[in-house]
Amino acid sequence: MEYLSHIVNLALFYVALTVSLNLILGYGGMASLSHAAFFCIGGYVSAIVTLQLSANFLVGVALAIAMTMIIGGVLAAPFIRVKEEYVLLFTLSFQMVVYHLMMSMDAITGGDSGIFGVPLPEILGWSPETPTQFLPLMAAVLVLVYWIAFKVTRSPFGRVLKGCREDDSAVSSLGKNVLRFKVTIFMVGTGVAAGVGALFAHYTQFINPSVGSLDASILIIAMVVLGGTANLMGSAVGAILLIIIPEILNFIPGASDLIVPLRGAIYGILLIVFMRFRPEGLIPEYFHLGKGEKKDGLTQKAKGSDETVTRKENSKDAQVPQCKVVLEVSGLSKAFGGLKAVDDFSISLERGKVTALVGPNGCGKTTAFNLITGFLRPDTGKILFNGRDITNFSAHRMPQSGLVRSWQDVRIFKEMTVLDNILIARQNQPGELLSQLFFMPWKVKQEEAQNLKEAYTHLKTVGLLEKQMELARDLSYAEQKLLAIARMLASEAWILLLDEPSSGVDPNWVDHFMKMIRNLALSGKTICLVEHNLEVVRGVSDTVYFMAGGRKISQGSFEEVMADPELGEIYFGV
Amino acid sequence: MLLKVSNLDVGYQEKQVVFQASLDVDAGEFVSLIGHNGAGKTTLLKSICGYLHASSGEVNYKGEVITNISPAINVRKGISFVHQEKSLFPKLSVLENLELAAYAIDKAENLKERLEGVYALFPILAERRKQMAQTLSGGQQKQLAIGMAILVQPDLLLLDEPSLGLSPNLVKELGKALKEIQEMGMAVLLVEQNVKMAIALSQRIYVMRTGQIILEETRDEMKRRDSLWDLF
Repeated sequence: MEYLSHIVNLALFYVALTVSLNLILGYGGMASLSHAAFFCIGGYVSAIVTLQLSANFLVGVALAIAMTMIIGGVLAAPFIRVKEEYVLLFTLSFQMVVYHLMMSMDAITGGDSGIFGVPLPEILGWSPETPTQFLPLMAAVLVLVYWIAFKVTRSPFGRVLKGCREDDSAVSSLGKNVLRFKVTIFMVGTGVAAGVGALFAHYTQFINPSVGSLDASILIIAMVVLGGTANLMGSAVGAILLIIIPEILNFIPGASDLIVPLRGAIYGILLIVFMRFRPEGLIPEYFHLGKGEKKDGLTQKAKGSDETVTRKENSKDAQVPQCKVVLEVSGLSKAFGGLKAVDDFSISLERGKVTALVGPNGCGKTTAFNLITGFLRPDTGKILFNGRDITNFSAHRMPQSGLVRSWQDVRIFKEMTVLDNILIARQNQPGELLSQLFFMPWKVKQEEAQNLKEAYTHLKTVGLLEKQMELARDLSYAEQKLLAIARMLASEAWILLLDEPSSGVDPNWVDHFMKMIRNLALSGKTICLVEHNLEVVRGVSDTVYFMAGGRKISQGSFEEVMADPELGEIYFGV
Repeated sequence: MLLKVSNLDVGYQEKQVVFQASLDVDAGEFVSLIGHNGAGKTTLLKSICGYLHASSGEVNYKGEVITNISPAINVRKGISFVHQEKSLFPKLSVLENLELAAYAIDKAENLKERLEGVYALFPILAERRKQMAQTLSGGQQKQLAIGMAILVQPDLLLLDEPSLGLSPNLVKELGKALKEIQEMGMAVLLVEQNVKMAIALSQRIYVMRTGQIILEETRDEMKRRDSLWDLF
C-alpha cells in the first residue's frame, strides 16, 4: 500500500513538473533543458534553509521559489535575442553548471551524497510521515499548480504568450513587449518547479544532484511532448504514463540480465509507437476544437451584456492625435552594406487622409515601413508622431502610441483560432498582467467581455465571423489577409500602415476593402498603404508617393503622379 | 486528354472544402481557375498534385489514375507545381536551387541544356546564378520558382497565384513568360486572383464558388461578359 502511494506521489510530482515546463515549452515556445536543475535548486535551497537556519518548512519553500524565480528571470532575459537552438544551448549549459556546482560544493550541498535528514513537511503542527499521509498534501499542491497554470494560459496573458511562440515580430507589431512575456512565463515555470522540488526534498527527506541531472530534464521534456505541448491535461497523461510504464514493466518476470534490457527496449518501442500515431502528443493543443466545444459561454456573455465599459487610456503613450499632420517623417535613410535601401525619404501623413506608396518591387517601400514602425533603426532621419519624436522607439511601443502596421507576408498566428487572433490585438489589456489576473479578476473579466464584443464586430466587417473557432492556419491565403486587417483594426490604432493589403484577395473583397478604407479615413484614422493594385490606389488615396531606388521620385494626386513619364518607364515598363 | 479530374472531394480533417470538382486540361492548353477568397482553388490544385488527400473522386493523367499519389512521383510523371508562397530554398544559390530541382528527374546528363532553357526564358537568373535565393527581389524569386518547375520539362504546370505581390511591370513580364512556356508545349493550369491576367492568357476558364466549380467558359465567352462581379 505504501509502495503504491509512493508511486502515486511520484507521478503527481512529475505531473506538476511537467505542467510547469509545459508553460515554458508549450505556451512560451522555449525549449528549456534545465528544468530539473531548477527543481533541484528548489530542493537544495529549502533543505539548507530548514536545516541550517532551522526555519519552518513553508519559509524554506517560499525562499526556494523566490530565489529560483530570480535566477530564471536572469537566465531568460537574453532569450529574446537568440534563436531557438541557442535557447537549447543556453539552458543546457545552465543545467551542466548547476549539476557540477551541486556535485563540487561539498560544504554546502554535501557533494555527491547530497543532504540527508531534511525535515518532513510541517503545516500547523501536522506532519505527514508516510507516503499515504503525504498524498492529500501532494494532491492539494497539484490542484494549486493546475489552477495557476490554467489561469495563466486561459487569459489574455496566455494568448500573447502563444503569439510569441508563433511570431515574435508580429506580437511586437501589436504593441506587446515580447521580452516581458517570455521572461515572466519562464519565471513562473521555474518558480513552480522550485516549489515542487522543495516539497520533494522534504517528502523524501533527502536531496542529491542526481534528481537534477540532464537525464531528468530530458525526461520532463519527453513527458510534455508525449502528452501534447500547450495542453495541460496532456501533461498529466504524459507524466503519469512515463512514470507508470516502467513500474508495470518491472512485473515482467525473468532472469535480470535478460529482462532489464528487454524492459528498456519495450519502453523505447512504446514511446516510438505513441509518437508515430500521435505526433502532436496524446492530447494535442486543440483537442477540444474538433469536439465542438466553443466559447459559447463567453459569446453569450458578450452579446448579453448591455453595459458598455468605458475604456480608460491607461498607457502613458496613447494620445488622440491633435495635429493636422499626424506623422511627419523627414530625411529617413537606411543602408545595408553598400546598398542604400531607403535614401533621404520624407513623408507626412495627415489626419483622416489616405496616402499610398507605389513603386517597383525592391524600391524600399517595405523598408520604409520597417523604419517608421521601429523594426529597423534608421541611419539618419526623424519621425515625429503628433509632434513628438518617436524615432528610436522600439517596435512594441509604436502601437501603444497609436501606430500599427500590417505585413506583406500576413504573419497571423496560425496555430491560434481566428477569434484569438483578433482578441490579442487590443492594447494594454489588464489580463496581460499577472498581478491583475490574480488579484483583480473582475477587471480582467469585464475588459475581456468588451474585447470579445468588439472582436465580433471586426470579424463581421471582414466576413470571418463564421470561422471564428477555426485555426487560422486552415484559412485560405486571402482569408488570412482579411484576418490580418481585422487584427489591425482591433488594435485601435490611429495610424494604419498597410503593406499590400489587397494582393491575393478577390475583386469583390477589393471593392469592399476600398469602402472600408474610406470609412476609416472618415472616422479620423490616418492610413498609409503600399499597394500594387492601382485601382485601389486610385480609389482610396488622397496623396500618392512614387518611390524608386529608395528615394521619393514624385508626390501628388493619383493623376499627377501617374502622368510622370519616369513612373511609366520604371513601373509599367513602357 | 492530358488531365481529367472527376468529382473530387477534398478537405482538411473533418471539414470539406472542395465538393465534386471536375475539370480537364488538354495537352498544351492554358486553363485558369478563378474564384472568391477561400473558394477552394488552392485546395483543389494541391489535391490534383497529391499534396492533399482527396476523399473521393478521381484524377486521371495521361489515361492513368493518379489520385492521392505523392507529388514526388507525380513530378516524375511530368506534373510540376509552383506554390503560392515561397517554393524555393532561400539559403541556397540560384544555381543550387535549379540543380536541386533536377533531382526530381534522373536525367542529369542534359542538365546543362535544361539550365540554358531556363536561362533563355529568365536571363536574370543566369546573371544571378551564384547569388543566394533569399537575396533576390520578389519578382526574381518568382522567376526562380517557375524556372525550377519547368527545368524538369513537365507536360503539365500547376501554378498557384504567381502574380502575388508583383508590381505591374513584373506582372506583365510574368504573363509573357507564361505565354512562352505554353508555346514550348507545356499545358498550364493557373490559379489566379489577377483575373485580367488569367483571362488574357487562358483558352478556357473555370470559376469556383464555395468549393464547387460553377462555370466553365472559353476566353471569348468570358470577355463578352459585361461584368465579372457576379461570378465572385
